Amino acid sequence: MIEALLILSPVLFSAIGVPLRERAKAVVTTLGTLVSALLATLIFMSGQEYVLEYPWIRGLGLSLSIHVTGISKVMGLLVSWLVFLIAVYSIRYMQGDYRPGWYWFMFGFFATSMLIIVYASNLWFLLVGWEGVGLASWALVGHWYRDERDKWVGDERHVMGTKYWWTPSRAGLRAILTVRIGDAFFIIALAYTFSSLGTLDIFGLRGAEWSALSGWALPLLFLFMIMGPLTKSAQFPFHEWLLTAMTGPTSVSALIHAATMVKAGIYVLIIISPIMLGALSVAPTVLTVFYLLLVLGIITAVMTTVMALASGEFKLVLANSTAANLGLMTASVGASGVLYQLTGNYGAAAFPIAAALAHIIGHAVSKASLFMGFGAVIHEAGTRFIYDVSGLYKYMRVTAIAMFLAMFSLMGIPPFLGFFTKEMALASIGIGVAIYSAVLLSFLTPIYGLRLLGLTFLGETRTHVHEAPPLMWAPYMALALAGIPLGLMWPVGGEKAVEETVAQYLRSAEVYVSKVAMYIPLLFLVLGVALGAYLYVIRHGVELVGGWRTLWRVAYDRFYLPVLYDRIIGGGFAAISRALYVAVDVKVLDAFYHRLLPSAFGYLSALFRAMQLGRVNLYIIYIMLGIIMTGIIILLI
Amino acid sequence: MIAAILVALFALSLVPYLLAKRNVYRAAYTSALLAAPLVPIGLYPLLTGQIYEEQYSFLGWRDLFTIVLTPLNGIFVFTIGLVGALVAIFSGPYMEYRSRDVSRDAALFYLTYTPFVVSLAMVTVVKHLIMIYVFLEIALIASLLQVVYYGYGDRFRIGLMYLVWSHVAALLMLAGFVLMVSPSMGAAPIYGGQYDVGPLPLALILIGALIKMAALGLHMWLPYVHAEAPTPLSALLSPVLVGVGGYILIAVFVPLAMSSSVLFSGYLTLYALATGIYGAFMALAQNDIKRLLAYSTVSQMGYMLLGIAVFNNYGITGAAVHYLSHGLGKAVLFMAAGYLILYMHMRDITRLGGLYADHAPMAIASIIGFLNLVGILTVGMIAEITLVVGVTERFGLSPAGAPYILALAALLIASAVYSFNTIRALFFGPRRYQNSGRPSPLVLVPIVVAAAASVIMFLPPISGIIWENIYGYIALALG
Repeated sequence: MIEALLILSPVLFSAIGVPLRERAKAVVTTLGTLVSALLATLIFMSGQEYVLEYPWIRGLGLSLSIHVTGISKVMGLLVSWLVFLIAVYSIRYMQGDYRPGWYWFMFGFFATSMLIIVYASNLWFLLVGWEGVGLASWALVGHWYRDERDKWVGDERHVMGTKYWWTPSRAGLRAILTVRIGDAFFIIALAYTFSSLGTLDIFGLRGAEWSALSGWALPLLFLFMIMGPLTKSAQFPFHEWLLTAMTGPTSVSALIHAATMVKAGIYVLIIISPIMLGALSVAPTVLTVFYLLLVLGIITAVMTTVMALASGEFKLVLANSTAANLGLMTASVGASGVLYQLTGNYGAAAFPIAAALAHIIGHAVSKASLFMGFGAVIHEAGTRFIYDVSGLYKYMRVTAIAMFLAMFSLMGIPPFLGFFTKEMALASIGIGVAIYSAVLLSFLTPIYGLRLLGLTFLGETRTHVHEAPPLMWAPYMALALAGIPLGLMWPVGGEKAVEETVAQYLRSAEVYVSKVAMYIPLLFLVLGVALGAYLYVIRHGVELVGGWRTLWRVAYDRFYLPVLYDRIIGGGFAAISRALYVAVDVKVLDAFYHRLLPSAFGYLSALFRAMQLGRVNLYIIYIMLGIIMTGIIILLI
Repeated sequence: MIAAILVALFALSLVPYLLAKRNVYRAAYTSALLAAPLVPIGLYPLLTGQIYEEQYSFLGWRDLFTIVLTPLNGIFVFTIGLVGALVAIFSGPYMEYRSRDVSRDAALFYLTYTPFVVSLAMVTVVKHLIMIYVFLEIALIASLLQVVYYGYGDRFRIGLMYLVWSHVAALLMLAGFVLMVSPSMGAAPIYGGQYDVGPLPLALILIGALIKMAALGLHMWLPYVHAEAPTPLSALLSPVLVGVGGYILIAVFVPLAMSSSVLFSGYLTLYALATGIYGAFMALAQNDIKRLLAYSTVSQMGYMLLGIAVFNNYGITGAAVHYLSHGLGKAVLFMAAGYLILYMHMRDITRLGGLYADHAPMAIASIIGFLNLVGILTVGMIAEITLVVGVTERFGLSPAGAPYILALAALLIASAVYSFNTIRALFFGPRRYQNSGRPSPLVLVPIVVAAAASVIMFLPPISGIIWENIYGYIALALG
């Protein structure tokens, strides 16, 4: 009962709010998220672990089952409190909005869908939340459906004939269609799992008879299954939707980046990791799937970090940084299988997965704060472009302090929480040549972080703005400050608690930590901070020349991937449909059935009419001919 | 008892006819009342899982008028009744407007409305093959008159097109029925009718049903007819009529063909997937909202045919649930198209846009309608996952199964592409239309109710009960 209320209260309260007035909607939905957060806390504190199951469609293996285990308790606590804080922030941020009914209902629906993912132990049931999260993010990314110019992402120019600005409705379409690609394969994977193994219970699948599946079926199954998380968590080559999803209200960005949507993908990877590891132990071919996660995660992390250095919009920097951190988490999960295979020790798989879970927390706390804070900056300064503002520290001190604190955590500076969780993730992926990516990320992250802070808050003050109201800054200040005590707690028990939670979930007796020497990445972190501070704190920006400028341009244009996606794939799809319509439907099928056939009938009927001349001797000839032909046919047979 | 009710409904169709001469609205309400009894009739076996039979023989033709209610045909009858009643309510304001346009009172529309709806339901509940044919033809004639008298565009030519195609389909099926007969015509195979048949009758029935379902290559009539029919009729043709072709395949074709080769199932599956993908591509290319929805029906019939083609219990259960989800979703969307015609006098989606601003309830209902087509969080999702389980059970994940699986993924994605694209074009973006008139609640309420029903039918426990009963029955009937 408590569990049902915990999951459902956001959507139920927001549904109650539908007929109410704007302010009441906001308060009621926020109350719903508070109820949910308090219940999540209650369950977190209870210390019990159990699974609840109610039948839904037995014949399909679909049941309303939830697991209250260490891992879902931690995630539930994180999600529900972040949702509550973002709801509080939204009350003021969305005040006077033209579509409050849509916003608040979808907000509650979003939260409930995410909580279903967190607690579901049946994968079909999880899919219900999964689809809900995708739908809600589509609805909220396109919340400002009138496509006003100030809600766009990108600047109004064409690159290789492609529009390089995205309206909310277009960004929403990109988001839903990208995740739909993953979902199609995800659904097929679940269906195949059920039809071949008879269950979709995440615990029941661990001891599955994998040997029953032939050769390629197993890696293909997991390849399809990870397509869902890869698209939802915006991993290369599916990361583009996340960058244009910035068209939604900033509170929505905070929700998508910190608490829901993209974290759902990583969380599902963590949830299914014991199943994949179990399959790996009997079928080495599954290792390809882990390698794929590792490689795609690293590509995403490096690529989006580079793009974050060049982005010209506040939210775009943050979005790139989210994709980069998600890349780290994805790569960590990938590393779990690789380490398991390399060491032959199941405990070795636990640490990277613990790192992914830890970094979900570390990243979420700082990123929620950053989005809300920069949302306030955009709100107050009236622009989404970094270069339009400067020296805002003078007027927005509280916000500036909060943003510095949150960004330090994101950059991975001790003693903030982000330092520890990022270190775990970097340590996890430090296998073989992947260590270079860890070095590169350590070096580049502080530069884009300091760039964003320096260009926004430091330097000469050009415009007069106001500090955000307390109802808005309280949530992001609280989260920014939370990074410090959480960070201090980390070495004295936090890390251990997360590791034990994961080990318990994996049913691994121990957590085998294979930390590669992290001094080199640490050294590069220091170098990155120094360079970032020089460029953006001391010098307040830098003029790029020559090859650097070309590199910047390529990164600024997002490696020209929007050209591929919007023009070649999107435009190609539309062009094919029009061409098929004209070439096949109109010119062949329609012409055949509705012009050629009728005119053939018309021609035949004219022919037969022409034979009826009303002359008797002609008819006698026809009769004779008929008799002769019939005779020939009879003789032949 | 049930037979008496159904016969009475036919007879009572004279009442709306007489009413329509004076007041279209009363005729509409009465027609809704006459369609409504089908809802409990369908719901009873669907919710209880029971099989109910009323035997009537005639002049030595055993079971000629026998009626059977099962969870399988229950979902068809329920859908036909619910959509029929809702569309009837919607038809009031629409036919008032349309009769002015064509300078003819709506009497003929309401005279044929109830017979059309009831005979569609009859197709699914009669046990005897001949009666399946008879009611198909009655439904055809009733709807044909509506196209000819109240349709759009070149309605006589399109009426003729509809007549020829549908009649050819029905005759092919009849020829198949006659050819597969052992000494006397008998019950449909799903009710235990025993037949020893060769490939020819099966092929005839299959082709006839494929024309009815507007499968790829045989679909050409559907965009014309569904786009140019009077919109309330479109809201019945697309959701409920074409799917009846699927019912005939399940009741007659599948039990006889199930044991056929895997190869045949494979070809039919690929054909179904091709129909679905092709329809989705065609839908994306349309600017006329009614033509777009008509092509979307072609695509959706690909899903239904897919469930049938895999020849297993999951697939057929999925096809049956899909009938409900497509029925509700497409009824919402066609009624929404009617709403646009009534209040915007517009069918061209390139000239609409930003409709959410003034028509939020209709927009939200239409979004739910599209979610049924895409299979997201509506009863469409239950149908979708059941169908996908059917396909994976049949073909698995192996290099040999790859074409099926990849085409299936393509179908799921292509459906989302045209659906979300259309949602964006119609409802979002800057406002691009001139508003005229406030919508009548009679138009809006059925749209919203149908959309809400598709969500309610998704939720537990109702979707579970329905699913288990259909699946249980199919497992029993097909073994």
